[in-house]
Amino acid sequence: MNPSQDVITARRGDPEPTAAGLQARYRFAPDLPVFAGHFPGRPLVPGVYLLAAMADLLQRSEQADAAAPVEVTGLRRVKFRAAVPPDQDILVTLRWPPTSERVQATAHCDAQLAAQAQLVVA
Amino acid sequence: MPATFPAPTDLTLHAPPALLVEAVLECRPDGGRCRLQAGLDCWQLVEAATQAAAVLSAAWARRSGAADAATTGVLVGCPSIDWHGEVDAGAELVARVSHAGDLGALHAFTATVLADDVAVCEVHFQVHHGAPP
Repeated sequence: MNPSQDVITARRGDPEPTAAGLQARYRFAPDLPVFAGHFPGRPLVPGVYLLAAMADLLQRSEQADAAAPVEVTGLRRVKFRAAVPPDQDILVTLRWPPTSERVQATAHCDAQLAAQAQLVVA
Repeated sequence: MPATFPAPTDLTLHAPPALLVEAVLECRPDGGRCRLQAGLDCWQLVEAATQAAAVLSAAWARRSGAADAATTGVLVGCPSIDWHGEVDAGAELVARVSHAGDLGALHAFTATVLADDVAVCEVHFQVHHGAPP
């Protein structure tokens, strides 16, 4: 499995501003090698892929705002709410701009909250 | 004579190439240690840490006679994940896992990943055993 690489190939379109921050869509192709092992016969997007997508959106937002935080040093209050199968649109949202050193992030699949987290940035 | 343990492929539903745990090094009722694949990045370290807990839980369950008791855990949350510096590509990676407690079917773990004996990633997480909560 290679979350860092697979998240890049899963990008669907550019980040879009929202009233509360930023959002972008991701879709993990069903033929990614990771799904052969996570899990055999029942492929599911690993939770860490959702977290990597949140961080990816943060990195992409930084490219548009040089004054934004640069590095994710950790995460807090991560909760996984629903399993996500491959080949589904995942809407990742960041509350932007960040308050203090944390960025609130969510991932929704089919309008259902799949994961939420706070990204610790430095 | 060192103890031998089943292969990780026999202890978790994860399979290659998604399985990042190479071997169980030590297994106790409250945790243990696993050797991980070399060259993992920050996200792979987090996944490997949680896989190590699954593998160790299953290894202990098997020793206790409950063969598949721990193979159906679902990761439900991580109160904290922290990374500490870079990992050299050739460093030996070991996950040290402690079972921090449980509340019914919800089990709390702490996992520290060591690169050549230096902590590079710490994950506090919760796993629900059995049917999804």
